Amino acid sequence: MRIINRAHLPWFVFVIAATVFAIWLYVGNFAPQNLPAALHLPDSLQQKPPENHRVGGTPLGLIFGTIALSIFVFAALLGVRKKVVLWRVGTVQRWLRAHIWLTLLTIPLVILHSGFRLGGPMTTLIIVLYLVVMASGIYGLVLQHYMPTAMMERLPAESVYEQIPHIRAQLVAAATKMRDSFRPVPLSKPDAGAPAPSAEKTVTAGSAPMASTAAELSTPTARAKTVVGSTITAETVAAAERKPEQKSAAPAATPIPPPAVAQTPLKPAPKPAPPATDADSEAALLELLDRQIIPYLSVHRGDRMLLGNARFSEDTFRFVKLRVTEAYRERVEEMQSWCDERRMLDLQLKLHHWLHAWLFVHAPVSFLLLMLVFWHAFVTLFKY
Amino acid sequence: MADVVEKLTTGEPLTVDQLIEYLPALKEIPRAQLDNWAKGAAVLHRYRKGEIVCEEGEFGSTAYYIVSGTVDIFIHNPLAHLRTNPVVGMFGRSFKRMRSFLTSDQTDLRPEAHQRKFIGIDADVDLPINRPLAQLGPGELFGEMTCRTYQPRSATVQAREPCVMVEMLRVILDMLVGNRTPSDVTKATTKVKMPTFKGTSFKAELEKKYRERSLNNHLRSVLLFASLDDEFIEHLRQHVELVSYNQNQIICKEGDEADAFYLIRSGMVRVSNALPGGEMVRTYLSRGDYFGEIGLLRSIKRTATCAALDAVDVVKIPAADFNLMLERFPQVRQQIEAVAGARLAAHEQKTIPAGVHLDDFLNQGLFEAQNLLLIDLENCTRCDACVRACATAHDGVSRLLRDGLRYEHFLVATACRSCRDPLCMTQCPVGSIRRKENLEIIIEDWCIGCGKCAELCPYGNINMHPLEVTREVKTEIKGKDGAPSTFKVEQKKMMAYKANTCDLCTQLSTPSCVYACPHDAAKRVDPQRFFGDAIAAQSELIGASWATLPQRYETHHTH
Repeated sequence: MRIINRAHLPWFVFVIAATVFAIWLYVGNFAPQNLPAALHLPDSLQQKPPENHRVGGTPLGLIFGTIALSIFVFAALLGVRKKVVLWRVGTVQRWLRAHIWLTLLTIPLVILHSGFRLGGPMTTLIIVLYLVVMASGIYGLVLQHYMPTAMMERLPAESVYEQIPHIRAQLVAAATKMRDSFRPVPLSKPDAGAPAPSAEKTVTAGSAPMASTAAELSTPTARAKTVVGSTITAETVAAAERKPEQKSAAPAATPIPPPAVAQTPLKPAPKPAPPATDADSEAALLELLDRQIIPYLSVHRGDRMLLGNARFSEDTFRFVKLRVTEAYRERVEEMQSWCDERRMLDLQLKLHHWLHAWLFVHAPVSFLLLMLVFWHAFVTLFKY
Repeated sequence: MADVVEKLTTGEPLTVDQLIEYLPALKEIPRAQLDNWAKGAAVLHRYRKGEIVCEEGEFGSTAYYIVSGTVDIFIHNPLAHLRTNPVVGMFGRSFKRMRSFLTSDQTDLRPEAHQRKFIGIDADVDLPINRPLAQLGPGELFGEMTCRTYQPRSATVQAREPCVMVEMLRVILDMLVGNRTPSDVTKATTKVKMPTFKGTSFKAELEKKYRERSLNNHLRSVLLFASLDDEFIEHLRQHVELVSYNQNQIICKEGDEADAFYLIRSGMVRVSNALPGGEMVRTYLSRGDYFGEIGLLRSIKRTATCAALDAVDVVKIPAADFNLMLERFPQVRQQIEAVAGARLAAHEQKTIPAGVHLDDFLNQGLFEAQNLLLIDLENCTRCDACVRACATAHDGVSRLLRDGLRYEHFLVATACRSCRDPLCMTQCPVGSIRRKENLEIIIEDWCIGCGKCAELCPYGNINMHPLEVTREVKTEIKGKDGAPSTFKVEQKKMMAYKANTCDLCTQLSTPSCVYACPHDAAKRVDPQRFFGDAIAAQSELIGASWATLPQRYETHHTH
């Protein structure tokens, strides 16, 4: 069930009927010879065809024009209705349905009102704007009809749009932290906006591989690993959430023993890693982090980078896995999951922009159109 | 957690000798250790009458020992829960807003709200629920849990008379009462070698005081023991054991023989079941809660595993005394039988039939809800109109976050009942958030508004609602020329916070979020009706009896 569903059927029937009726009135008035005798308009509805071909100025043309103008005003009110969310004046869903179908009805009304002519420069401009508004509206409707399903299928773990920058920063921080675990002296951060990596658990090169950082990420993917429920355990959060307060506190005068509760990883504690670390593996991972992963995670447009390509990414990580020793494979997988996550966030951003960008054309042009139509009505009614 | 920095509020620094003077029990600690660790870890405070020592809900990492003087310990956040009702305005209900207000369980009793008589706080006293105020005197300690686990302060402490207090960091607390061995998991992930303290006579002293002063009340606070006579309470008081557990230590294990009844004195206990597909945490219990009665009553094996989340102190009533009580007080037996029967039935109902995965079971939890807010992802254009409508309807505080679990093509936006591990409960300093039998969250009246649960909920389903309340504020006016100071009492308007979850606007025919959705994406549904066919299929698959009779799958009339 998508946006256009069975609830739209009555509207569809209404618009078709109204269009047929309007055409009948038009043809019956201005070209009765084209109608079969049975369909001729009653005499009371007959008018003289306009001499100067200006249908808009005839009573029937004015009726078409007025109805179209009223529909424009109603359509613009949808914007107001969306702002006053609490008013119980019909669900927004009903308003939108009416907005869609009534504006579609304006197509025959406008054509019949114009009498198949563009008229002067003013009316030509109005028609062009009208075309832009209608085209952007129909385009938006098509997008909104099909894109949500595409988003649902392609984004298994969607995050709230406003949180995407924050999640990106988390990914950069995790990568930087891992890089620092390979290199004792932290380098300058590639992304100034990312939170500084915590000094905690900084493991110098030559020590055992550090524990997974997965527990510290609360990204959608991290959560979506199980279908239902949170897999974050109490200990993880209890430990992780203590950090902010303590950062603001002044250092104590003397060394204080740390509390008994320390960070506990998500999974059962990683088994003590093999004592010997592999310098080659670390060098390879360091290079990968510095050259590929951190730049990719920090860049604004990730799809332009090599790792933005799913296939390239998969190949790279498969290759890297072969280059490092067994003890480091888990961490390669972790890096891969960051890149996958980043790719998904980029995709979400892209789809989100597609889904909403059309409104930036539709809404302002509609407003301009409305103003011009009012002007057109004022000028034609009161100046001529 | 090597970078944890604890903080003492400003006060007079104490040398080791001065510290020993105030806390003589520290003499039992080797001097070298004291010199090494205790320096700078405690300060002395002198409070004037009426001065606030600490406020409920604020962050803390220290404990206080009262050297002289008495303090009032109380909760000033209103003892009430949040209720939101629609308002009828000048134009009837057409332009209506929702109004949020506070109401107590006395006037608006919610199903399954606690019938407690006392509020457990971070001190060895309990606050009566009808008037949450108690006094602590010289030799008492408070703030132990805050010091150990960084829970927010559970109550406000105000000097009743001029007071002298020692504020201490955790190291001093560990020296006094012995440190709690961290779990193996913690040990594996920390690199700092911690000193080991066995504790001093101070701990025994504290326990003695607890037995003398608070245990009686504590036992009385258990509804089941309310009808016992004084003589038997005294008997229990003499016979119970005070037991301490370390982090992650198992107090009783699912499937073991039941040998005791436990009443929690301090700390958090995690109650969980091992299920196919993972461990399911049923609930967290805190001070004043009790467990272990089912096994004893029915002479069956333990139905759940109870483990200490942090350092936990419990009052253990051995099986013999418990059974003696049942023999002597048949009315208690009857009462407990009823409670245990209900709990057991609920437990059996929630027992997963063999071969079912935990995730499926939790999905079943979704079906059991009265109402669900679903967002149809095939229709949702992510415009957030629902979230804005929710915020506008609830004084700017949105209770809806467009995030959560997915079930088929629906996003279940209110999903708190589905957490395998309800993190929201783990840091509540007063134990005011808990799960109902159907695993939904209920926030009790004595919520102090510290916001920990909202911070911890992985789905953002708990929010803090600000409300304006009038509170009495005492201001000290110093007397001129040595005259005694006077107190000015004023009624001031202040903000009180209450934790709250979405109630799906059940008072409205259509919730604001659903009304504002332009695309037929947000729906409030009765899951039994909406997912009727899915439930039927699932029950057929697993031969379960816990799925109720399905009705037809409905696609409309969902509000």
